[in-house]
Amino acid sequence: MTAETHPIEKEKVMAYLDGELLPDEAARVAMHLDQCAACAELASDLRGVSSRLLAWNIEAAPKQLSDTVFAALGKNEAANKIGEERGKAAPNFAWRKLFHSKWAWAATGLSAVVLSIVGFASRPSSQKPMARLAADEAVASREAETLALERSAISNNLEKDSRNEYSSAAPAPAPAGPALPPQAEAPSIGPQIARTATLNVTAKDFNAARASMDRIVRAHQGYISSLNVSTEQGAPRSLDAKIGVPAAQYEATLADLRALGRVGQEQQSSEEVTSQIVDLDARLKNARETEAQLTGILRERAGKIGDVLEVEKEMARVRGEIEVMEADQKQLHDRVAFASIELNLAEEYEARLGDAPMSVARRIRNALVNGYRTAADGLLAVSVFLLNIGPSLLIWCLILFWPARWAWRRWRLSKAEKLAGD
Amino acid sequence: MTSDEHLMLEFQRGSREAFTELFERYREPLFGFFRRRLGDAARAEELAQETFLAVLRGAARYEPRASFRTYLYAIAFRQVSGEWRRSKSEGVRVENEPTTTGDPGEALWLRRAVEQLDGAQREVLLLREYEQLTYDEIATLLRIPLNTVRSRLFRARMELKALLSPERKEHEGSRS
Repeated sequence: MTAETHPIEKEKVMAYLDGELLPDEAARVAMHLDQCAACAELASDLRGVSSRLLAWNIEAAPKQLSDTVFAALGKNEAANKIGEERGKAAPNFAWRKLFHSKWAWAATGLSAVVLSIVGFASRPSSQKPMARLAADEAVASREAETLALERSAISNNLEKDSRNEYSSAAPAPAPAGPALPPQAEAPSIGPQIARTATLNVTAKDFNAARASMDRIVRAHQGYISSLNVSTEQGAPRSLDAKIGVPAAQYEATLADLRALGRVGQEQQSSEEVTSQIVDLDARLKNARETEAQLTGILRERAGKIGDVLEVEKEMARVRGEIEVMEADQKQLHDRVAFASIELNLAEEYEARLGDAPMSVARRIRNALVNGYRTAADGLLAVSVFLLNIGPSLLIWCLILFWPARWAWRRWRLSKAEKLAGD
Repeated sequence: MTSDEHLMLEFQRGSREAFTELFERYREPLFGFFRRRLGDAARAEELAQETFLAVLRGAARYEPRASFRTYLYAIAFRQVSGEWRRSKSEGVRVENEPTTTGDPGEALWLRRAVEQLDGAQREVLLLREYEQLTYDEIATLLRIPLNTVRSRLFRARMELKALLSPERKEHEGSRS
């Protein structure tokens, strides 16, 4: 009975007995078994094996199995009940399901790809034409400003909400006594935005561009806080300047600086510092009131020397804090009042044919000077080395001289004896 | 009769009765699964417990993608594979003969014959004959193609037939 000659495979007979065939196929095999003695014998053998295997019965499962499992079930139910009471069980389960769902992962991945593509496409390219670049950046600047304003509004609302929430949820009575000053009310100020920009400009005429830069800064009532000019031979000249301009003049200054040459890169950022200013103002006000109260205590009340010293110590600490906060406040106000522009102005480099090469005599002279310097440096280095280790070298030579001399003589003597023996 | 999968979903929703029903259905088969594969009865009981506990702990994550039977035996199979690895590395082998309800001699004879089968064939045979899994379920559990299940099962049965033949029994009896 081979697969080539027999219409029904042996494994199919087995599958029929195991109930693994579709009804049509099962009917075909059943019909074949009635007609084929070999297949009927195979089926009988297979049935025989299965029925003999039934003889391998094993003992019943121990009772402890049920006890342990149901004890664990009880604990599980108790834990679930606690979870439900806390209102966490259902969302936790939902999140777990979501975490294990491949569709959720696929959707997350797809969203990330789409967002990356959109983000990449909307990023301003440095290869765009200048007019387009300037327009894009103006839009970006406006967007940044709008965003900062929105952020400011949101943070103000949040602050207001949190204050309301705090006052309604915990109406704590104001503590009596002069030690604790009342909570300072935040003054309502408009959005405070610190603006910074980085501009890389390449100019054909470096000197003219530099002069123009100075003029632009003066015209917009700005100042140059740092300037670094590089004029190395054989390399394009460049300067790095950090310019501060009044916030109102920021856009106009930037536009004038762009006109100095070809803009290679421009980056603008706006940081909303309203909450920092409000927070700092409130802390400063409180600290000043504390200082005033401490001064009052010191002036009006007489007490022990130890108490007076304690109050003075506290006053010194508060004064230190006030000074640090005042410095921070000034810096923050400066950052808002004056926008910062970092300008990198580079010259469009042209190699000049007119540059005369160095003469032969000059080169020989330079080589001689360099040679002399190298020789002198070498000699100096050897001298320094000898001076450093010379004393210890001398001591070791003195220590080892006599043993070495004795060994040398012994060796010569033994060599002479050997020659005499030969 | 309510399906296993339905009971499992009911248990997910907090039905203790559903789990009790599932436990009653699978307590004996699962203990038998471990007992036929391990020589140590106490260890078989422990592993059966651990399998049920794993079902309890993983109930929240259960999804009726495959049959509950496959899910349960997949956990059990992982447990028994770990046990084999452990006993192999530690070289510890505890043997106590399973007590049988039928003829003990016949049961021992059968067990020895089954042990002589190739490991892969033996596993397919045991899953089919004792755990009553379908070919499809065995393929899913062992992560092998359906045709491989069929061919391994056929070879295991044919070999077992030869091993259980009366001539072989007499020969083995005279040797012992």
